[in-house]
Amino acid sequence: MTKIKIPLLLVALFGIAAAFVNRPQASPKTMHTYNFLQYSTDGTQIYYGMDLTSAGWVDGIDYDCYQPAAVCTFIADPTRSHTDLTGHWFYVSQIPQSGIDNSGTWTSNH
Amino acid sequence: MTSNVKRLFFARAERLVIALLVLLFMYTGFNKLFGLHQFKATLYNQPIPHNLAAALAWIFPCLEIIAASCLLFGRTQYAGILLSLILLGIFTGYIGAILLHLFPKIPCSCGGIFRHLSWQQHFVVNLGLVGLTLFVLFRLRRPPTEKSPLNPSI
Repeated sequence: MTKIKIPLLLVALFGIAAAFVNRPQASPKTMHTYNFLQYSTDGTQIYYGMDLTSAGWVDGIDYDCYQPAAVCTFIADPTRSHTDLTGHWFYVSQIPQSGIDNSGTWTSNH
Repeated sequence: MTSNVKRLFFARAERLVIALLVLLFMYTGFNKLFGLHQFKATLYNQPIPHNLAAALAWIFPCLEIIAASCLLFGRTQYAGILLSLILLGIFTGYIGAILLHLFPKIPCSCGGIFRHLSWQQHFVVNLGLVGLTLFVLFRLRRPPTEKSPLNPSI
């Protein structure tokens, strides 16, 4: 039977303890799930958004972003929500590739 | 440096690098498992399919812990070093691809010990770790020909 290296075992236990002490803390706030998708007058899909990181939000703490597919889906702290031009609540981690931001500025490259 | 001093220096460096890898992979592996929800959210922000991200959320920490565990035993140390090199190679290649803008967007940085590093800093650290792992790999491959001052039984 191969012998375990005791000094390395101690290092390993230290690593596990450090990982436990520094484990990511779940947000104590209640997180809600939101979808936001808006149709423009010509029927194309547009997304409203802003960069939450520039507002001091921390990814994984204040919000979790699920990769936008057809619809932007997030879970986020409802007390830190924003409204778009039509009064809908929305959360976006990145400025979308097409759409307008919450100040009404067109951000589309298309 | 005399040959004995040199041998002693490299033997100690080898042990230090192995200890560093054990600490690194035990820490990052268990840190991911202790915060699995956050790690999954981080992976969902990477440019990979969701199903793959959900699987990788378990696969990566388990592989890291296996690599660190292998390094604890003399007989499995070589396998542990190989697995460490493969994992570090994957992470480094992935960061390199991000830096080369091969993905349509730059996702958020990974969690754990590297949470506060930029992608560039992360890449440099990973390259250093790959170099150190290669150093140990080549040392473990070389069969001992003489009595080592650290291994008098050889």
